[in-house]
Amino acid sequence: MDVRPLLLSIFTLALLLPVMYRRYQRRTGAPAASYRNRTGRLLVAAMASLVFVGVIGGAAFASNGDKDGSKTGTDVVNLVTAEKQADRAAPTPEEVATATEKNRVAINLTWLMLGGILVLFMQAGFALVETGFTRAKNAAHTMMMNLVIFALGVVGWFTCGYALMFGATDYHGILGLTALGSPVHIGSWNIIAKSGFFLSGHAYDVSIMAFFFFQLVFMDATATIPTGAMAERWKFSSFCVWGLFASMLLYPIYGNWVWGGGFLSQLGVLGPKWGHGAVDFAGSGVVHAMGGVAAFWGAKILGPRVGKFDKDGKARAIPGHHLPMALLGTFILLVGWMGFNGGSTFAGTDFRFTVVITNTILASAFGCLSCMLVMWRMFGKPDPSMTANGLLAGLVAITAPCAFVAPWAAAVIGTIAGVLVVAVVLVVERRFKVDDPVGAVAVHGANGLWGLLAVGLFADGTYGAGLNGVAGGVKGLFYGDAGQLAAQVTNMVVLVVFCSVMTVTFFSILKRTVGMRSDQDAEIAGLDMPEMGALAYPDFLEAQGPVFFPVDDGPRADGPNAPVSAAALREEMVR
Amino acid sequence: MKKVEAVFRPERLENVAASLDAAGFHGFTITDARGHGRSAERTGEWRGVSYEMLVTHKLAITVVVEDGEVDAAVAAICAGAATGAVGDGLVSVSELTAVFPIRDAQGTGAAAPS
Repeated sequence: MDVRPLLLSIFTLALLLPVMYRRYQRRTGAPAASYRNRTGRLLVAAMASLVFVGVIGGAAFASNGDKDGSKTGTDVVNLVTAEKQADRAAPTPEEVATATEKNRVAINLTWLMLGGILVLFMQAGFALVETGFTRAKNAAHTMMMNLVIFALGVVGWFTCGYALMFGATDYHGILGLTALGSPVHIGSWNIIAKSGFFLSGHAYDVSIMAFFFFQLVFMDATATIPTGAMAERWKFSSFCVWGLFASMLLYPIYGNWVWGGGFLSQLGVLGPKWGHGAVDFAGSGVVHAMGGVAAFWGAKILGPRVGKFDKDGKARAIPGHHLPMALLGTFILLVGWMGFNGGSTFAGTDFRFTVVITNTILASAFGCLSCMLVMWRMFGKPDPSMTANGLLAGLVAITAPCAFVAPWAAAVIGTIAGVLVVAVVLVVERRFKVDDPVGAVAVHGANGLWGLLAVGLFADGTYGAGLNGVAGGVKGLFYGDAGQLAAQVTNMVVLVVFCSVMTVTFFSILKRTVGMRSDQDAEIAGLDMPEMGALAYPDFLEAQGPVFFPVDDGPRADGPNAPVSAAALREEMVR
Repeated sequence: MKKVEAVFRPERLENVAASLDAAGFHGFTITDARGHGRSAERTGEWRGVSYEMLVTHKLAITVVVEDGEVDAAVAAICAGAATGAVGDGLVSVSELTAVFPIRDAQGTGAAAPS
């Protein structure tokens, strides 16, 4: 629509206003308009308003914008040179193909980086969940662990983590990423990669940087999981050593076996021809089960918090100080998980990512509800902290199978995860007497393993053609491939054995050298001042809830009103 | 002159204040308090383990009254604070020797009981 006549009439009207007023004033004898009186100011305001309306209205109705998107991106001068256009020559097939391929890789790299950025924000989710589930007197310490694990992880990953895990990885077809070097192998079995330390040499490459970043944030998730299980008593200096160990050795070695072309991923082409070999789409095993198993051994070797178990070994409740914080963290993790799983296609041109994300959401919702209902039924209340764990359990469990299963299977996997998380929380606390304040072992460990198993059961063969060098889609037991289940179980066993040996060795050495446990007086007083030198909430420490445990010393010799001895109280708390 | 102090449930604050105001006591002080009584008032659930709230949040109110107004003030507080359940709190009355309004006391040189 041509708006020029309309604009012209509006501006003419604006100019005519003073003339019209002058005629009106002459006829009626009203006072003359001037800048000093009200009439004059009104006239100026009216003129300005008309000009303003004209400009804004003109902009709104102007027709030169590309409102339906049909014109944007059709300027072929970006593809065909101006000389060629002058010659009326068509672009060569090579030019068209190059431009198309550039676009394809651009879409994939953009999707990969977007996913990585979302996963990076999961660090905030972990920090809030862990801090909210623990006590205010340790809040600065717990937050600090979650902040510093990020930085330690980056340093370790840059130094050697990426090189050991992905130095021999080739995603040329998707990302333009070529292998940095050949892996260390025994026969045809790859054991570890060894190229790209400090991102040097050929690793200074756009595709490698994208992949390095995306995989970095996954590693940081693994490294931060044990900080929750070991919160409120872990000596900070000792924790720092863990950050480097996890990012430089623990995560990359096992990760290489599944994602870096290592022997577990080769089970399908070499060896026993089990399905596609070990399949773990976004890391139920590589990321979460590794973190969860490490968290179990860490918390076991570290010992329970002071006051967690009474004389008879019965678990006491130590309520977290900030449920809204913890549940906000859960939501942040949920959103981040869309990048975690969705981004793991590595490709926005792989339309399966819509299935991945929808399956992820389904599992999280079903996990949340099944956990809530179990808690409600068993303990009489829907229990916010456990329900949040249930949602996360569904996410962890669907992480490996999300690309390979149908939506109904995602719902089933999530539902089972929500029940499993309750069972494992209770077993870890009551049977193993391991103090896990945030439920990391149940959420990440148990459900990570369940996710690996679920691939071997529910994968429906619609996706994963060519994965790990095996033709055809990934099929689980229920779709006729028991071999895939065998590969998954092998993967689970290797994971648990490897992670247990590594972490038990590491934590035992750590305990005998640096020491793992905070000073006990510091722990009772709260770690914020002794370890961090700063309180998280200097003005808001509340004494409320089960702040002490009644001491039963039996009848006292010196009368009923004698004060409880400090020794008796202390003994009670420490047990 | 007497000081009437009461420790009561925080959720009853509006009732206590309204009740005192209706009885003609227009000035009082509220402080935060934590209390522990003979029995746990509430039971919590945390990750499958139940626990007793042994120390609970309370509010304390302080009203300064003339000797003859004590009964009316105590009655007003009780009317506002009572729920009939364990943990309603208690009212105490103590003797006051002097009260100095800060704004007026300055410069007068005299302790002026209201």
